[in-house]
Amino acid sequence: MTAAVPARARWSAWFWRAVGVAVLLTVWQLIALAVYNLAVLPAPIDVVENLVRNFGGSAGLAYLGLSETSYLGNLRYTAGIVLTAWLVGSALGLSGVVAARLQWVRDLTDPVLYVFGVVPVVVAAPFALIWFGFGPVGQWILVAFFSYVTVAVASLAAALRLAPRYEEYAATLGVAMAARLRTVVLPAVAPATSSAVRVALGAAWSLQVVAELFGSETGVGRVIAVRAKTGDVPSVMAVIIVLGLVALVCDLAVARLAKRSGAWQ
Amino acid sequence: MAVKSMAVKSAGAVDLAAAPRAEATGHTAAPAFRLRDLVLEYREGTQVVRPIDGVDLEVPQGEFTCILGPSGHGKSTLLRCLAGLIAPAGGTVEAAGEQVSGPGADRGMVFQQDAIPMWLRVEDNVAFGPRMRGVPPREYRERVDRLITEVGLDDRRRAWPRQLSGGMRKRVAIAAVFANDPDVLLMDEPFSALDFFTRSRLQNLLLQLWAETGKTICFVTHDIDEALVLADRIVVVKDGGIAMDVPVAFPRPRGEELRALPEAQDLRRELLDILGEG
Repeated sequence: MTAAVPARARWSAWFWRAVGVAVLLTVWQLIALAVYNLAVLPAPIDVVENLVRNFGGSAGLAYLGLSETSYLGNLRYTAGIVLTAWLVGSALGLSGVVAARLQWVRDLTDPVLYVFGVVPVVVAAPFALIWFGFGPVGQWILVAFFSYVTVAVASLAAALRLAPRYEEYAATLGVAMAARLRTVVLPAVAPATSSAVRVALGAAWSLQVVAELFGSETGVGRVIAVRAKTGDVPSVMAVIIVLGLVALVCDLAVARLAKRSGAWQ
Repeated sequence: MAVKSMAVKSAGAVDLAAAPRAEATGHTAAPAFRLRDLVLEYREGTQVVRPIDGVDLEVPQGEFTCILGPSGHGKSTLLRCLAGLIAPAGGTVEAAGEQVSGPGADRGMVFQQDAIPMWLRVEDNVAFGPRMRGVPPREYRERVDRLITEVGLDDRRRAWPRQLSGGMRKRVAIAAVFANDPDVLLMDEPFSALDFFTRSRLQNLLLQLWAETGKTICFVTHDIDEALVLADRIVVVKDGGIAMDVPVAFPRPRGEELRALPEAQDLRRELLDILGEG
């Protein structure tokens, strides 16, 4: 009986999500029928048709001079940079825990975190791309750096908030400082930090697409830019939707891991 | 009056009739703690506060010492110094003949507030110390299992600390410290937030574990009755110094009948007078 309730709640949640999507698609379809102009608002079926047609290869993209000529290839490029840069940046961001405990590390990193942490991404992105180039290296550094800043600020704040008695307790059990950071501070700050990691991932997708819009030769952002220029709204919508779905799947996977790290709460 | 003349004596002359004997527990002759002219300071804004000022004290091995005192008179600060969590501003602190230079596995501590890792399940919490020190599991597994049983948490081994009551979490903390097998247990008002019955049960549990292991225990409390039930010796810390140092040689176990004992009543009154003075 007690096990049946969560299962029921889960099914209920999925049911209402499905209803939400169905309502959205219906409203979209109705508005598209009312507008009746593919260049303004294509119907859902037009977008799906465009996605299927261009997913594995697109003559239009080849004609427009993109080095990747399929939605899949461009998506792979964008996702590859986002996921690797976010992963490395977030891992480096965990150094906020060390900064919270070693004053000289905090003195070293504070100016970077607090100066660049408050600069809006749309302002910082062009500068970063000028410094590091508009290619994959510049984009990767941009995403990794902002992931680092987001996670480092959160892990630093969470570690500073942690009551000292947990580490003192471990110290009186004979646990050395490095092991205390690993087994006391990191697990304690994991719930707060994992939220920041999720935020960083969400921001990483946006940041990468913006970076690609600025002048990349490849990537989802580039596809959107060239298709928008030719007024191909179904293509733009298809790419945006598929990118959103990939980002959603990644977020769900990270959320699952985050939930495990906070199971003790 | 007779109690007073018997009670107030120097630290070295403490009666250890009720304590596990040092030779019986295999301990060396060096005292568990030797404090010489100890001064402790901390900053409060721009002011330097000196809660302990020139204290001399010896705690023999195997003794159950209660450090009693009014709030804010430095008893917890003194305990934290014994743990190596704060350094003396003056004087020396030796543990088993060695200068204390920081915290160590030889001096386990149970804190007033919950300090056990909330992200470890009960059995992982109890095994935390030895595991983190790299002790092979075969050397501590049996001790951990026995302690979990002794503290009555056999059916809650896989529970998270948040799923336990405050008393249960204290039992985890006590089991975890004993599992790490330190020479000394330092306990900072561990039962102060618990109800009367839970507190009594935990006091009995602590005395049972102490009797089994013969460890030295320094127990900070502001509760005179708790000190009378637990201690071999009561050290009253007040106004930066030791206001009273008295052996408690009443027979164990000390239940409700202790309250009826005239000597206990006298000692209780005397402690009340000292704590209430000034």
